[in-house]
Amino acid sequence: MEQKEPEKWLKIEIEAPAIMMDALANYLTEKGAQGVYQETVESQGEGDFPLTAADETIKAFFPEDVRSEKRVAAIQKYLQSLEEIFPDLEKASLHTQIITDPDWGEQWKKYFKPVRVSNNIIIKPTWERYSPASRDIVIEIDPGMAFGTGQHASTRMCIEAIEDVIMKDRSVESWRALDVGCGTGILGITAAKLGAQEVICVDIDKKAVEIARENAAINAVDSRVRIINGDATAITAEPRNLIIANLTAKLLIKLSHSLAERLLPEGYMIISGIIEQDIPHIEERFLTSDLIVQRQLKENEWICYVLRKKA
Amino acid sequence: MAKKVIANIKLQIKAGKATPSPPIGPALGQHGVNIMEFCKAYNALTQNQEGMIVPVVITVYADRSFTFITKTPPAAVLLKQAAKIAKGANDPKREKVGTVTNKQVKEIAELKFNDLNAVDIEGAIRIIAGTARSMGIEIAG
Repeated sequence: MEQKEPEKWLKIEIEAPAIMMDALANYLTEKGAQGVYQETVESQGEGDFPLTAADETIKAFFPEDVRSEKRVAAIQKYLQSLEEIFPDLEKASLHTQIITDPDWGEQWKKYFKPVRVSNNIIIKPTWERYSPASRDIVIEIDPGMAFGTGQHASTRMCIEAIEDVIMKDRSVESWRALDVGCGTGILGITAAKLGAQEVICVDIDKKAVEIARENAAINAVDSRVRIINGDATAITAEPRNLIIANLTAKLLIKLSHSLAERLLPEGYMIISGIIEQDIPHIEERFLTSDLIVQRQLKENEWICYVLRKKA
Repeated sequence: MAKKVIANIKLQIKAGKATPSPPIGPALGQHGVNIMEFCKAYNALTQNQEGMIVPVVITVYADRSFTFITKTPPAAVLLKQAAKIAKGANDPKREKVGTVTNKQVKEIAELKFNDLNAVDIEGAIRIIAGTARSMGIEIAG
């Protein structure tokens, strides 16, 4: 994510017999594509796949730069070689296209609508209208290319858990939260909107940090939400009584010690982004003598834990 | 009633490393899929296979929700492992970069059988053998 994205991309499409697809995918990847894809678009009808055609199309993207010409020439040479190997099959055809203004990050926004994620919390994209009911807490998000729109189960469960913890434990006078891997900032902002006095959000992705800062400002909580570029270990602030980490099981396990260390006695830790198969590893690592499970949330294959540190 | 499918996308990408850059961005973005949601789910599922290419088939529905299933590694990757080579040939007709045995080809065909468009194991072997030839990998006894 640190890498700056090139402005221009070279899109290569190759139509070729199906038997060549795997080798072509391999060749394009070896030439520097970060991956390849094939798609079938359903024309009509429900559920039925179109009949498999003898020819398939594979697509790959390369940064458009001084090496483009050489790349295309190498691919053409490779296709010629394949033709000689399979003289009886259809010839492969290659199309190139330069893409200068990619907007693939924008298309899905059309389908991002305000959504109620817990009893009182509504997540609303900045560009949509919503008339809140009296008790509604509306969180506005412009996700850009960062993760966290409330559409994903792992995020939704975190929001529900944050609301539950903050609303129920009235013994806490001042919530000091830490959101690790904040993405759009949605979880840290939720904590602030629910009354947390001081929230620190961290993300290793610089773009996410910028986006989270904008979102904190949009929600008018920027005075209480500090967003820092770095990982959890970079946080030297005083220990927190609420830590939220919506990551992956692997990252959670890696950070388990740092997270536990930064949690005050009787403090809460919400961990999410865990799929069922990782439960044993997570529990082995997190359920230490200090931490106990307060609540476990589940949605489809996704699990979210609310842990609490002993006094 | 099943939800209406609008597209099926087969991606070959690196385990645990999905980002909104190409090919994921354009492949999913054009169908209105929330790219970051996919990346999160894919990375969570494949985090322990880092370094491998783990293909994934994504089904996109009319409401832009999606489901996906991961597949076994591509035949080309398995062939490179079997032949102990890092790369395939640039000119597979003339350049031979490695060798695999018939037994290895059969093993790969068996492993990949469900993902291949083959009626029987012989058909699957032919497909894998075709991939090997397309990479400059010879098949020996």
